[in-house]
Amino acid sequence: MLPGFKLSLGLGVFYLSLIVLLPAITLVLQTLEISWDEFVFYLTDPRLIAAFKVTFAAAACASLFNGALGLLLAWILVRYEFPGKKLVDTLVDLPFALPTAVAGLTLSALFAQNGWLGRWLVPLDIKVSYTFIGIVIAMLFTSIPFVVRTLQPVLEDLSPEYEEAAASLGASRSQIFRRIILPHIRPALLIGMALSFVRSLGEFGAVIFIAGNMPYETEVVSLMIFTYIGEYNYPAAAAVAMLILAASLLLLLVIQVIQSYYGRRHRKI
Amino acid sequence: MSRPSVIPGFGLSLGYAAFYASLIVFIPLAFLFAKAFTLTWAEFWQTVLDPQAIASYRLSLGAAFIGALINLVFGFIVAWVLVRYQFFGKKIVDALVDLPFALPTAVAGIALTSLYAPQGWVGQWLTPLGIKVAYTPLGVIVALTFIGLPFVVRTVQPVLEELEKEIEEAAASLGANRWHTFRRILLPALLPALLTGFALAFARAVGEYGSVVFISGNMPFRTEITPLLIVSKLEQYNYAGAAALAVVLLMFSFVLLLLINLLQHWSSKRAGA
Repeated sequence: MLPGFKLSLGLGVFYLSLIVLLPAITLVLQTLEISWDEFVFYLTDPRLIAAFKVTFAAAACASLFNGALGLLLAWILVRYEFPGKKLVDTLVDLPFALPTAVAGLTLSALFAQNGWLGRWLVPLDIKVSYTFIGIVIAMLFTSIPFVVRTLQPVLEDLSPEYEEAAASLGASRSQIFRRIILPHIRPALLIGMALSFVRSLGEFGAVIFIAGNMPYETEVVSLMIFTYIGEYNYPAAAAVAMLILAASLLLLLVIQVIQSYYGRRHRKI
Repeated sequence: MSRPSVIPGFGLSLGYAAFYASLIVFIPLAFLFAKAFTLTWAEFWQTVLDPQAIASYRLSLGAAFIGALINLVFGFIVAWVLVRYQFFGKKIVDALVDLPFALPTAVAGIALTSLYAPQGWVGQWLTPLGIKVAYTPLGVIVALTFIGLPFVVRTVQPVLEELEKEIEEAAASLGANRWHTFRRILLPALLPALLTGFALAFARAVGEYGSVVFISGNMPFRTEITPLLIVSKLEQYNYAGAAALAVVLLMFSFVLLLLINLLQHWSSKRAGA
């Protein structure tokens, strides 16, 4: 219905290349300024590898939590009426609007020994600030809107009648969830989780204040990149960023393959 | 209010969600407000109404709004192309969309600056035309458009996939022209998702720091964004002052997001009717 294929494809591709592709190419060129040996040297730094492990593990935890609890939150916001619902709905987006450095400082003050939450958790021997858990929480905070917002429109489309029909045909709750709801929301859920994962990989401001940044333990990749930038070593920063990009692209491709597999299966039924 | 629900009953799941939302979102926000109001009223207003701060709100909110608007239009087109057409390299284009999320923002800022600086690849063509991007408000908009790009595409895509082509064909066969079909059939179905994407892109752009500081030049009153003022307050260990500015930024964003939310509610109700 939009002006035909060529025009919209042309506009879309033009826009994407102007906004995304050009910076990506610049990044590649910056990386090419260093020799292959230097490239290998930077990327095999054991400290960087440790940072990659921490970052990936924390981002994976954060996006799993986001997937489960974001689904719950989206469900509530779509299916139930309660006072203050619009307020809650609006508040979900606010973590994005908060400059991440402020988010990080606030979280670390909350979980510090005398903070609002820390004072309850520290006596239980649960340490959040300066640990892996702190990193996960900072990533959760900065990426919470993703799953909620990608699921909401899809859940709105799913009318409760389907569930009622399934229930009246004798399906149990878990069957309804697995057979009716999940296939319908899977694409959106996967997209939301992937976005929150990818966003968490690159997160800097919120994480550094709560992570403690101990090399080999709680240092994230974006901090190492920032250190390189501080030393005006742009090629090294670009090289490490390329690695994050490559990993993200790989993950997104895998998700697409999973989606098209399920999509095909779904259609057959 | 007793629909058969698959997720354990209303009370329990509302409880879980409220607990989670409050832990992750509300408590930090409440704490931030508490921190900001450790200042006296006079100090608070002085920090918040500083002319330099006011200029920065205008730039931050204005540039975020324009960036989100650009993304609204073009993000829709990109989503459309990705859902409805098959072409060579589609998977790669699709994956490229998420790149702005994956890139640590400081790296994005440096890449954009080197592109749009007067000697850069794009900058060298624009400078003779009298268009300056780097170190101007335009540069801020470019950076904020970059980081917000995936939102609209990714919120619209799943809804568009659910929307069957047959409905449009039916409309066309009943004599609707293209514009009619777009306005009456497509737009009502897509509007909630479009607005969500817009809201997310806007919110994210308001808080963005890393990518903007490199390209904006950070001239007070001209290209200085509020997050930069906040970070410089943090660097002086003026946490309460930083919190005060952040609270103002959040209040503005909250009002705009609430408006978008109401608009969305209204449009989805109308679409349902």
